[in-house]
Amino acid sequence: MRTVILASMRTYVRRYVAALLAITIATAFIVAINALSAAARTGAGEAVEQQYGRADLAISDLGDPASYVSTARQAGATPGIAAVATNWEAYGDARFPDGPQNISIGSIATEPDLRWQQALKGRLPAAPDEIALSSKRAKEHGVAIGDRLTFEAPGGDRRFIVTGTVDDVDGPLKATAYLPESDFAALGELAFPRDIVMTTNGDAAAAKAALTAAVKDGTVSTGTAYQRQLRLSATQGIDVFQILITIFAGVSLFVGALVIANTFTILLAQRARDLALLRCVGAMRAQIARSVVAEGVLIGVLGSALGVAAGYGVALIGVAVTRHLSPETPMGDPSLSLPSVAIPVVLGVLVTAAAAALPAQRASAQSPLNALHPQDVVELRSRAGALRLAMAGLFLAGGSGGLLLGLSGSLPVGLAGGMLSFIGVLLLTPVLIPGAIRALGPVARRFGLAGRLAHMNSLRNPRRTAATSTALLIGVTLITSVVVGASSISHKVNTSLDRNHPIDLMTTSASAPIPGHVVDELRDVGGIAKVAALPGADATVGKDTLALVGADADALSLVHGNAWLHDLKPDEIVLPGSTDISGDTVTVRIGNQFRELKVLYGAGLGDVAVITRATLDDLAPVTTTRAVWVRASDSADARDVTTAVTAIGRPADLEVDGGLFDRAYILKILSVVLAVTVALLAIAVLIALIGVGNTLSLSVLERVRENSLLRALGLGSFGLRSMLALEALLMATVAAILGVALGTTYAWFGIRTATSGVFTSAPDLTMPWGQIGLIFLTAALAGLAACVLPARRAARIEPAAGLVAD
Amino acid sequence: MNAVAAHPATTTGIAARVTGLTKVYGSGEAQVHALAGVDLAIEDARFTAIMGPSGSGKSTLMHCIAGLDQATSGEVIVGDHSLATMSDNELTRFRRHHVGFVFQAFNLLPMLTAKQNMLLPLDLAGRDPDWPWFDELVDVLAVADRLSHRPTQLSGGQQQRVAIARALMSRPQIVFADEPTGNLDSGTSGEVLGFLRRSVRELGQTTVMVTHEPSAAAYADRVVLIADGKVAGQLDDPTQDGILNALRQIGA
Repeated sequence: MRTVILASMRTYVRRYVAALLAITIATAFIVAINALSAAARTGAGEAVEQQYGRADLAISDLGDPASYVSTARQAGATPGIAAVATNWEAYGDARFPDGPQNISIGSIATEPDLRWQQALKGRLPAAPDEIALSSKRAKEHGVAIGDRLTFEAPGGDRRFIVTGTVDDVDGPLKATAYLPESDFAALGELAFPRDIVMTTNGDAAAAKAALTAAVKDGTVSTGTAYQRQLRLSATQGIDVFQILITIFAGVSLFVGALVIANTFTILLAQRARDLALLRCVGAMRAQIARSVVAEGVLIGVLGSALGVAAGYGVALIGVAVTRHLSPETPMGDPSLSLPSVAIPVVLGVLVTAAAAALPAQRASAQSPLNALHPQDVVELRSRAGALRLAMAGLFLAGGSGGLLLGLSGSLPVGLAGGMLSFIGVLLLTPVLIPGAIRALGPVARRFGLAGRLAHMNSLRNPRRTAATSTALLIGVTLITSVVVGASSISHKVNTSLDRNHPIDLMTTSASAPIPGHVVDELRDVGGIAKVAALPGADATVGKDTLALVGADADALSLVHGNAWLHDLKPDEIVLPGSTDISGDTVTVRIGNQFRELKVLYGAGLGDVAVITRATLDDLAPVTTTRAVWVRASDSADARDVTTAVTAIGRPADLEVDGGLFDRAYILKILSVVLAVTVALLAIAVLIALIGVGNTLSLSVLERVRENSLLRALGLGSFGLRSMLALEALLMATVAAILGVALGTTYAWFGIRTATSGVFTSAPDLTMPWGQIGLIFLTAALAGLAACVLPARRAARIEPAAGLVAD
Repeated sequence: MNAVAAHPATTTGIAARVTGLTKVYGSGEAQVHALAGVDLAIEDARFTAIMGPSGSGKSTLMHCIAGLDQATSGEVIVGDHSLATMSDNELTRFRRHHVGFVFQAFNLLPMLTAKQNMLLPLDLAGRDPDWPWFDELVDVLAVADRLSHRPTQLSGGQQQRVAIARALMSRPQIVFADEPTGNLDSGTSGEVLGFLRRSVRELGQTTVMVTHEPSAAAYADRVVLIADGKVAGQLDDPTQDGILNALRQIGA
């Protein structure tokens, strides 16, 4: 039997490529993640080592800053302790040449033995008015050595001279700027101690014992133990990330399994005669099944081995790219541990073998008589069909349960549910897909004889049609769920941004009018699309006094989203969320004029109430400019625009506010998260697409003989080609429709599960119709493309040659 | 000869016996009686041809004796094995050890060499080949210079000779040949049939051939005529004319 397995694998090697690629990619994915995580972990460990390697002892978990100061003094007096340093950190606003920034400040130990920073350029600060900067941030903000920097300290602004830059690795003590340890007392409430580190005179154990006796609270640990603890907390994030990506790897492995099972189904259908002949000359059913599974195992072994190599290669590239693009991220060399290789390999082999097992079982049921009469399709209906339906029902029920349970926020449970239910759907495809194709009959018949033949062909062998469509179904379902999920979440985020930040930027004045030059200066700022000056007056609203501004259509046009604000009615007033006014209506009074207005509440409009311009003009005889609304152009850099507007507003003593920066920041994070998700799932989609091409072309090749019969009976080669093309289109359309429906369902569950607890109300589905149209088009093109070559070949074969073809 | 010694003839000299064999396909209106009560004895170490017009049931009869198909009723005894009650695995084991096949076409697995194809049944059974026997077969069937070729590199006659060698390799009780010359020209046909007859005469191999060509049946020691699922007549040491006559009589 070994001879047969090896010989058939050699002969059909090209047809195994899809299965091999599927398992290679899935394994490579897992191996790459493991190797990269290992590299990141090593890197994190090295960063901790670099910053804490000098410490023999450490004290942490003390209470307030005062107790750190007193404990540090105590430690200095303890026998056996050579040097003591407190690691401080401080956060606050600093003014850089390119605008204000929120920065972190770390401390430089007074004791040279405990100092981990080294000056990359210039020197470390020594005097109280000196500071060093992280080299990356210095470059980013255009700060040179010798420049001055202002820090907003509680007792008034502090001015520093930049004396040098520090090469910063992303360890626990990394900061934007570094000040001498002694300088932190002056920063008052902005400064927090992190821990105290010490060197000893050689006998660390004795010093530790003495220190433990002297220090009342806090934890005293040896340097090694403390580093281990820091390393653990530094790698916790990596662990979470690794688990998250492993979930995606699981999805691609799952898709890989489906593609492999599908490839085997088609492959074995082609080899029905080989298998039947084997049965004739004395191969047991079990032998046939075993040999097919053995082929699966061989492919699994080969594919996973390739995957390990490819995955390690990807990890090497990944580390090199990370080091190049983001040098401050600590990255060690990628390494492979035994489990990180063994687990994906074992998984890969098991998945391939399992995926081959079901088609193997089916193939071994082959009657030996098939070798003598290969053209007779022996359909095993009733029992197998009923069993299949029962299995499908079980998977669907279990899967739906998982999906529903997952809604409470457990992503792994939801994903498992999704996979199970998808297997259920795939088991149903021999029923579902022919049913759907039957429904498309009237459309197909419009294309004349070729259309009728195509329609009947795709109905004739439900299992073959189902196997062919399944590959496409997997791909379309995956892509649709990603696309719909992404668009739904980004729609939800945009809606909530519009609600909370309707205006990009605004300057408001609670009492005095805004000078005209401010408005003019704002108009000149680069990156601003529109500026609207709103007139206003002080008014009594209910019992409160509020600034009231009137917005005309022009001003309202720069509001983001929020239809109700766009269409503000003359009898409505938008109150800031901070007022205590309650009730549906409120009386607004300016001088002698008053008006009863309907109350709306709006966030992000500053401390003013908004009414329409017309209503304001009716109420107030005299108005002054009380608010300026700014809309940034879509391409503008949020930070630049905010800085520029602040620079104009602050000197005039105006409140500058607005959601521009938050909006840009959130949208950027969203686009990164979505891009990463899409990229990760793209691997699974790639595997599915390989399956599409494979199965479609195989199913055409499978029918050389009957296509030749049609040719012999007078179907022209054009007719044959259109028949095959229509058949491919028919199956692609059905797979696309089912896939979009399924993908949308999974997207609904996916976004609800993934965002559980993120938003106050769960996001609704937002269908990106353009992209879905594109999916349809791609599915149709994939179907056509996959049948172009085989159809040409089928049309070129002489009818007589094809009729006797094996 | 050692082939004869390996399979001592039963006391009656009968290799296989079929009694009251029926085979019904389908049910109700569409019911077809492929075999309608066949009684037949296949003699040991003889070349038997089963003849009949298309649809007469000759192939079904062969499938039932060869353990490829289960009869609806009746008894099939090959050597001392009764096939009627065998499970699928028992039938497979029976085919593996006691039966050899030569089909009309598609006899050989395309991915195996001629030698690998010849050894396939033994390979499946996990038995070691009898190399002197292998050499003798290779010699008798004149395939020595084709052993490392794949089926696509062999002519039709060569393929059939390899198929015969494979069928004989496990020293089966009976070799079944189903239209073994159906795809061959007349010259090659004669050559292949000659080899089949030699294997009977020189190696003592019991052989049953299904054919509808009188010229092919004339190579046999005995011709069994089948019509409408029943045995319609038997001829010993037939000539082509005798066969044609007999066929005319049963109306084929």
